Amino acid sequence: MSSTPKPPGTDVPPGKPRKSPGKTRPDPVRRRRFLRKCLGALGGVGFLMAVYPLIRYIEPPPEAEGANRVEIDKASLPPGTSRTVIYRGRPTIVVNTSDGYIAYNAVCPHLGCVVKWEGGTQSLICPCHGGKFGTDGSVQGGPIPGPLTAVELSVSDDKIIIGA
Amino acid sequence: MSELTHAGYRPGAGAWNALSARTAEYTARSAVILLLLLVWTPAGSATAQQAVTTNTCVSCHADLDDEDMSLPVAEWQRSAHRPADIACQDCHGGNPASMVEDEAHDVERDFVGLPDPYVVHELCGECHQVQMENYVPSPHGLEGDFWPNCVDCHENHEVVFPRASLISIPDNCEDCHEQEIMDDFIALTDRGLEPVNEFRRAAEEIRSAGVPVDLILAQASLARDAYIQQASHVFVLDKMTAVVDSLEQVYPRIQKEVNTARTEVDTRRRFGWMFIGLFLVLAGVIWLYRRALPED
Amino acid sequence: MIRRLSNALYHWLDDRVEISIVIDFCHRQLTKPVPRHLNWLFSFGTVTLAFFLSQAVSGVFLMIYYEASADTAYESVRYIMEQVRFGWLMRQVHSYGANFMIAFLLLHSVRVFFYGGYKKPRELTWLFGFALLCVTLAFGFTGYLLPWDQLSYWGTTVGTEIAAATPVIGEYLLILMRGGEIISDVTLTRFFMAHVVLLPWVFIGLVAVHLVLIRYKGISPLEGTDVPEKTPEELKKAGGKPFYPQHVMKEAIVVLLVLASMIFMIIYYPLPLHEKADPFNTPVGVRPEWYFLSSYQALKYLPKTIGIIGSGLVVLAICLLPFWDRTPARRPSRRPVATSLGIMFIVLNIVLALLGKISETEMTIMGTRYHFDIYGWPHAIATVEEPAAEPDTGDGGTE
Repeated sequence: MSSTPKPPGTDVPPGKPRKSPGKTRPDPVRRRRFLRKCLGALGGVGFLMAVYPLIRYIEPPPEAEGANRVEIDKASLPPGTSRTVIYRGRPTIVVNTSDGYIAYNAVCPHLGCVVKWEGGTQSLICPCHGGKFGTDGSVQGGPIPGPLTAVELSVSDDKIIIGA
Repeated sequence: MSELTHAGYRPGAGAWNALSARTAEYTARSAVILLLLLVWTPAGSATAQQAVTTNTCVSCHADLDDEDMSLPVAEWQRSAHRPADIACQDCHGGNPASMVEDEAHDVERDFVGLPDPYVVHELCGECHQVQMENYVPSPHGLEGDFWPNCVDCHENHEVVFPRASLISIPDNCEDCHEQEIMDDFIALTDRGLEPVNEFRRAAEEIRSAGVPVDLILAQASLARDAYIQQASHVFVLDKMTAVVDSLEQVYPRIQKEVNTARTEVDTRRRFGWMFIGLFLVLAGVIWLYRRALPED
Repeated sequence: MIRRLSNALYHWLDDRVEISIVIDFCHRQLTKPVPRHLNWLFSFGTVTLAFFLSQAVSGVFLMIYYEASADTAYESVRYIMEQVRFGWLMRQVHSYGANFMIAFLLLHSVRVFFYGGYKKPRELTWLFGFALLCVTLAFGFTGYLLPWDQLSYWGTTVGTEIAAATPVIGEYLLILMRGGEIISDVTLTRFFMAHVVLLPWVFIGLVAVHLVLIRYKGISPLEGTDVPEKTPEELKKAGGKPFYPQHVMKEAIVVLLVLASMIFMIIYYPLPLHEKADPFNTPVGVRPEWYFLSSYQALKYLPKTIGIIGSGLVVLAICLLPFWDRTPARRPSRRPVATSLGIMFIVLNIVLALLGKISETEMTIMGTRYHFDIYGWPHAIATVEEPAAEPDTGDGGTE
């Protein structure tokens, strides 16, 4: 009796599965192992398929990126003043300087505060750490890693148009 | 700041503005058109059905033995005016709330049995103002002839939605016009209106699949209104051809919107079927696994 | 590799917080045998639970963009459906999920009723299940208002109106629910609070007790209460299969099939968002959601006070069912009175719901147009013919 092989599945030591090769008889243990792998794979695919829309859902929706084009009345921006508008979802500062209109992405490259226009010194000042930029966007003082990013701007008869 | 949130969100506002700028010339009479659109919306028709049952003209005349007196009610029941809540009293006057015959047909309340054929266009024009304004100076209204008038083509009681086939009613046109002219006229109407009807059908189908179609419907309405305002009741082929030509510049853009929306429907369905397929396969594998479990 | 890592983690945890006790306990509970008579109908409870989880996930995601105020609620739902990527999916999963959850909860209750699962010693399980049903219906009722479209606004108006028929405190109750005379911004925010804060936690607490009770007392046998129940060992000998994996897999299959059918409904018959709520314009044929339709219709036939007291008594009778139905038999065939009463009650509800569905609508049946009044009775209003061959050119109003 002891010489007859035990039916598979009753006493397989863990970690040593391949004990019955070359059998044509369906082997429930191997069958279960195969199906378990299928289940694992399909479950993984299902998980990814379920997570994908959730991730996409919390991404900023297309419209939230903001207008690609902002128009300002010239009359509302007299010489020497500035205005900050949202352009492409970012605060953008428009200044009517003595040399004409300028527009910059108002986010300071240092730590993300929003710069202000200072008419007296003809410069853009970051209120957080004393950063200072010239009308050309270049760094003139403070711990600033780089210049401000210029924003495309055009002027028509009575409007300032930010963006293309 | 409103760009950052959706508090000020209006569906498709950007594209809508762009389109209305392009067709600014068509929107001159938008107030009237708005009224027309309101009349055509399902909401308008849903609320209107209640009022019908309380109209005494309808309740009395429907049961009269004389068919000349009862048939108009049946015809009106099938008309486009019924869901729009335009009933007997709007053309015939009288008191639709009274059960007393003399009161219901009170001349003091502008009751008139047969409206004067020469003022019919003014009655219809109370709502269909643009059509009237085009019709009066047109060849059909010229010199106060008013022949044919509104009801000659559109029917009096069984008023139906405007469509190209109205023109082909032989009795109305053949007396004065040659068949060739009529064919040109019908072909032009088809060119102008058929794409719009097609867009609307497509939009309804897409809407029921859950994809927004407000932009398509707005554009289709603008095009339709342009046709109605500037072409439908002008009755001069050259003028009408010019309007239809300019409309055909707009149609490819609307068609593009329709195609985009259709693609979105297909994408959603494919995505859904992927899930359905996965769930079914998963269920199948679990079923097989369950069967392969040891007996105890 | 993974096995060694998880082994190491297990021992690390076990050395510190004796996790083996917990795991052994869970394992014993999971492999507890369930009786042989457990068929596919016994998975409805799990389906309901699965839908609760799905509702929780989709609800949390909807809240990212939803704004609960009369000015913005409608726009934000529209925004979710039209602008947010997969927002349509999230909203459809949530609104269809609500309907599916309630449907399967009702099926589950019906199954428990017919199999006598509420009888001694499982009265508490029934009571908690009944509370869960109430909470779920409250979920449906409060959630229905949130999109703030015409249907939800007026559906909620007529729904809350029912509460006003309660004797003595009715009017006060109505004002409390609505936070005013009519449904307004105030109503929306209190419904929103109930829907996303109060009810979820109540539900979680109730469902925990419900599940613990089911595990503790085991699945109800088919034998009557006068037969002593089998111990787990006896169950196993009698051919009972372990709860995990056999029955869990059965339930998983049902859950997957139901989810697949819900996705099918979503992509082919998406639920619409109607026009924005207009407090000054009531649309024709307002009615509450299908699961309130039968009681709403029943109230139309009865005087207000009798109706509300009557339906209150019916609800109370269902709640206290295990305390007045104390016959020992569980098998449906052994208790013909209860079974036939149950079937009659279900049929009555379906008929009432159908009457509610067709009331205040028009329909053409065999060439005649019928208007169904508020009681659901048809009235012929016109015969629909083919378009007249010869148009009438005269004017019918001539005297």
